[in-house]
Amino acid sequence: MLTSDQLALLRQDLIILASIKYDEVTAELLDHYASLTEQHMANGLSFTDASKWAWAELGSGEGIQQIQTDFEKSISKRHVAIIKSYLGWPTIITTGLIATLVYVITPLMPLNSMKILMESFYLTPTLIMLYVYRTNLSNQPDRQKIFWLYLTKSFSVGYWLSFFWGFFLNDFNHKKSIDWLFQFHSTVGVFLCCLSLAYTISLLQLFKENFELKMPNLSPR
Amino acid sequence: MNTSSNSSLLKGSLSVMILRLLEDRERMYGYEITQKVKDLTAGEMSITEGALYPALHKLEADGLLTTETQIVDGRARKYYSLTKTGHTEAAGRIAELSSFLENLNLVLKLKPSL
Repeated sequence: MLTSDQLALLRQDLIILASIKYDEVTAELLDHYASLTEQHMANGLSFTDASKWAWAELGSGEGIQQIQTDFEKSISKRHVAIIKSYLGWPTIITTGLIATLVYVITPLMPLNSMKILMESFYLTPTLIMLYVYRTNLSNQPDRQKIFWLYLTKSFSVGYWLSFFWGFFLNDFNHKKSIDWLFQFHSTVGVFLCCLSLAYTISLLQLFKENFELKMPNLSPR
Repeated sequence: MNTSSNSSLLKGSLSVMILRLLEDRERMYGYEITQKVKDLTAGEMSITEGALYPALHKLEADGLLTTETQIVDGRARKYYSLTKTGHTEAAGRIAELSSFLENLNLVLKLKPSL
């Protein structure tokens, strides 16, 4: 069995020499690296020599980085699968019903109340994301990497579309006399918001499935 | 056996091998899988880590494997086991590969025609 200092040295190899940035990948490879090292030590090698052999068997950096690349791909693939599972008939019907309801009640409500209601609705996905960030992502560097990766890539398109639609186009609808435009605007805004909300929930599920691992403290004393 | 030809032959059947091993054992971790393959084939066949982990992650993403992590000897160890879908899929894929190998064997053992 390796000491905590020896494990910390092996972990440093993975992080520094192979540039492994995700805790989950580091943890899995560390176990493999440590098991190989222990196997060589059992055959009489010193820790230094055993770890060198184990490092070579692991693929010496390049092979290990490929594992990380594939890990990122598998996360994206899983996320696409989650989103697809959300796009079933129940989601489409619920979204359609909410959008229709908004279309019907918009002319009946005072302009200011409607604007407050809509703007609260547009902010919901943002608030959920902030909640996730505060409760799950602070002090979790690798989760933050995935979070920002998604926020800057796929999340941005649908989300910002609903956001801009909700806030900036509101000025366009100041005159409630143009009822149909106000109705149309609110209905599309709510529809886009529902999609953003579904996306936010899919991210929550992805985090729950993939990032529950808590790493033990392996830093050298 | 030649290593490069071995690895190209392994490529298509690696996921089936993983599913078969997990069918036999309730749960296994990465290093254990590589050692088991080595033992079963008396060292003739070895799975590289660069092939094993992407295959495991893909099977997990496809919903065929589930994972649990435990702290063993001061480090996190990720165990893989078959899901319900994984069990069904394993049986199908193993039967498919076995049938393919039988047919391949018939072709390889072809006797010269008279």
